[in-house]
Parts: sequence; structure tokens; C-alpha cells
Amino acid sequence: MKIKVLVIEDNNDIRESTAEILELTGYEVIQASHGKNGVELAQQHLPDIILCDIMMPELDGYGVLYLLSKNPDTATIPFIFLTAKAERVDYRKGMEMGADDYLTKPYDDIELLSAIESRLQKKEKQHAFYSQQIQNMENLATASGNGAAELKALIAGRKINKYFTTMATNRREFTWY
Amino acid sequence: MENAALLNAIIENAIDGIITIDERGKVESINPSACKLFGYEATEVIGNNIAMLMPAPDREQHDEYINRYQQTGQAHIIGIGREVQGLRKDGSRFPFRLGVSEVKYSGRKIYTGFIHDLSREKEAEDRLKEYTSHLEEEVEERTQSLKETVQQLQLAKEEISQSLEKEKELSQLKSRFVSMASHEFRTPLSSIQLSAVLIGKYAQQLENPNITKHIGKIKNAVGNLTGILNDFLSLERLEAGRVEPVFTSFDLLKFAGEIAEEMQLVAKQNQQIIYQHTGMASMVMLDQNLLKNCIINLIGNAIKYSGEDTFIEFNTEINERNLIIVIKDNGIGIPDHDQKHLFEAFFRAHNTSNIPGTGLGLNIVARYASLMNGRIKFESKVNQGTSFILSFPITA
Repeated sequence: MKIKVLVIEDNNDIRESTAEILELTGYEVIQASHGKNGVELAQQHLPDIILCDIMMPELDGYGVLYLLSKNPDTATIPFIFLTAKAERVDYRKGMEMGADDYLTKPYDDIELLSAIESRLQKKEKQHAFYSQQIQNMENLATASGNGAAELKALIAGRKINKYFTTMATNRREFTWY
Repeated sequence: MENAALLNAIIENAIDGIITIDERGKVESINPSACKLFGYEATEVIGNNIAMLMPAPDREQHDEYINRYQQTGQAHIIGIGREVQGLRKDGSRFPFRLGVSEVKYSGRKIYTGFIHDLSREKEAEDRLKEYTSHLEEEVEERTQSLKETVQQLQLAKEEISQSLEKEKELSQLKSRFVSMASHEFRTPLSSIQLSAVLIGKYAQQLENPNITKHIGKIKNAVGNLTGILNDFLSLERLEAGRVEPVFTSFDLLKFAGEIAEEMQLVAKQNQQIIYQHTGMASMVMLDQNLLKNCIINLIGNAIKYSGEDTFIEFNTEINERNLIIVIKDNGIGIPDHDQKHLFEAFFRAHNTSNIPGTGLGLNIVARYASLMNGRIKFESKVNQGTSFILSFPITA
């Protein structure tokens, strides 16, 4: 199955060219020409990654990111800002709001593709890690006859208090020193 | 008799005028000084009423004065003296001090008047008054001119604040333009860049080297223009005081090595960037972004202003006190008369007209360096090469 990329950008030339480069590379591309449409398409298609312009009329890129982060279905989709703003403060604002990366215009195919690939790889690794965790849990639960009970005991037995005592002890030792 | 002659001589030669009158006010004697003062001959006065020497209204009231004194015994002048006006024969008046004493002599009363001319004193006084009023005028004049000066100053101040306001507006306009340019130019530049990429992809199967060459040129031009926009934006942020260095500790060796590698990729044919470090330590405390910008700029210049098949030396040194970064090329050099302007914004040396540039790079480098408490200097000879030296104090 092709990887789905959603491109939200109000400038037609940039949006279409970006989409074309991505399609030539083998991605499936969904295009949105403004923020509101972008949010709708994101919820409808659940793309693998989103590229989004910041300065757009009505709903800007920060707004799109905010709305998508409120919805659990779309909150974990990697999100890359495309922007004409080249200042560090803008960059920081985007990152603090939870964007995964930032492409400053004018970008070329290499920057575009490597940003997308590195985000997708990271997501894949995370996915692999968590599915392994789930698998382990399942293994544990089914390994012995009363796996479920053991798991319960394990959860109940998590010595949270003990953990804190250790912390406190360590700190005391530190101050003693 | 001897005594009477002496007394007479004294009276005759006295500087003050002396007049004696009887109880009715009739003049009995007048000395030469008094005659001179009033402009009469003695014979014209003796036997006449003293009132003839008085101006109005004293003249008319004199008899009354005498009567009043004789009835009440209350003296107004006698034994006291006062300043009065005299009337000369020619009708002019003059001030004098009059001292009158009562003399009882041979069973009757006579009055002796001593007349001390005050004309000169009066004149002096008048002159003084004149001076005073003149002074006051002068003061008034000066005050006026002072007021005018103050007014002019006020006007000048207003003008200055107006031009300051204008300056501010202009600066804001410039600021807005730079911000607009750096943002708005990026959109069409993106279009050009992306279309060039796509042309390149579609033209791949044609295997036409000219297409590849021209796409390369387009991408280069876009890159140059983006660089200029970035410089504009950096300058604008510097001027607005929005660049604040963030000092972090990092490994200079690794950092500089990476930059050298990066810059080698954009060097000309057979231009070798040679990086060397001197000193045992390699950790420094500076703003990585700003320092990287400085070094890239200086190596970029070295690449730009020197030919193919040359070496570009990139040296770093950490000693007890300083971090020193030297970038040395064998390029076209900087003419002597251009050297003092080199760090000014938009200044370009006269031998660079064939090489594109904005004249902002070194200005930005110098400002970044000083934000990190560093200094920049250079040594250069035309057609032999240039060394730029950045130095930063070590803060451990």
C-alpha cells in the first residue's frame, strides 16, 4: 500500500509541484488548499504524514496543528511545517506546538524527501517498539495458565513506594556527603 | 573790626551761596557765590523779597511759610535743611541744598540761608537714573532676545523630534520591507525551485546535458537569492536587537571539522579546505549557530574570492586566554583603501565587481562576533590573499 501524504498549502504552484515530486517518488498525495479543508481531509483519510504551510488565510498552520492534536486519530500523525518564515522564533513556536519538523522555503526535492523519510522512519521505529511491547504483554498473558493473574500481580506489585524511598535515601546520602 | 573783616572775607569767598533775609523775607545780603548761582547782581536782589529766587509754587506761598513759622514756631527747614529748587534770573531752575539758620542779632531776628548747589549731583543722579532705565531697557532687550532664542530652540527641538519621528517611520518601513521581502520572495522562489526539480526529473530520460546544466544554474540562482534574503533578515534582526547569543559548551574540533567537510562540498574545482587545530583543549563556550554562521561566511568568502586549485587554510587554536580562528586564502585580496570600510553594511571592495555579493556578510560576521564578546581582524594584500582572524576570550 502506498504511503499517504497530505499537503496543506494555499499557494497552488507550490502545492502542486510538491505533490508532483512526491507522486513521482511513489507517494500517494492528498492536497488541501486551505487549513480548514486540510483538517477535514486529515480526519477523513488519516494520512501517514502531513506537510502544512503556516501562513494561510482563515485557519493557519498553527491552528491546523492544534485541531489535529485534539483528535486522538490524528494526534500522532507526523507533522511537518512548510514556511516562508525563516526566523528562529517561528521555528521554536512550531516545534513547541508539537510539529515534528520544519522546512523553510524555498526547499528542494532532497530536503523535502529526506524530511519525510526520516519522520516516517522514526514513526515506524516507534510503531515497531510499541507493537513489540504489546506482543510481550500478550506473550506474558498467555504463557502460563494463569498468565492474566500473574500480570495483575505484577501490576499490583509495582513497588512505587519503594521506588520513592530509594530516591529519598539516595538524596540523603548525597546531602550527608 | 578785625573779626568783622575776617567774617566778611569768609562769606565773600565761600563756595556755597549765603543769603540773609529779615523777618519779612527781604534780602539783606547775598554773597558772590549766591549771585553767580542765581545769575543776579547783588544789587538786583538786596531789598527784594527772597521769593524772587523761588520757582512756583513756593514763590506764591513763601509769605505764608514765614507767617506759619512765626506763629507756630514749628520749623520745616530751619535747623534741618532740605533739597529745594532755585529760580535763576534767566528763568531756569536748579537744585540745591538749603540750610537755614535763625540768627538773633541786635534785638531782631534774621535768617541765614546756605545754598549748596546740587546741579552736578543731580546731573549725576539723573545720569544714574538714565543708566538704570537704559539698563532696564537692555535687560528687556536681552530678555526678549533670550525669549526668541528659547523659541527658536523650541522650534529646532520640534523639528528634530519631527525628523526623529520620520527616521523612526523610515526605519519601520525598512523593517517591514525587509520582513516582507524575506517572506514574500520565498514563495515565488519555492515555485521556481520546485519546478526546476520537476523539469530535471522529467528531462532525465532525454539525457541532455544542457538541460541538467541549466537546471543547475536555476537552482544555484535560487540558492544565491535565498542567501541574500537570509542576510537581509539577519541584518534586520541584528539592528532590531533581536539576536541574543545562547552560550553552550561544545567540542570545537568536531564542530569545525563538520563545517570544513560541509564547505568542501561547495568549494571550487580543486580548492582544498585544510582544517587544523592547535592546543590540547577542544571544548568551548559560545553560540554554535552564530559561530557556524561566522565561519561559513568567512570560508564562503575564501572560496568565492580565490581561484581553482588553491588551498584554503582553516585553523583553530585554543590557548589559556583565547580561542583563535583563522581562515586564510590566496585570493584576490582587499585593496588598501577599501580596508577600513570592509565591515560596513553593503560595502564591497572595488575589485569584487565581477563577483556577486551584497556586502552584508562581513558586517553580520563582525556583529555576531561582538555579540559573543569576540573580535575580528584581517590581513590582506591584493592578489596575494587574505587572512581573517576571529578571537574570543575563553570563559571557563
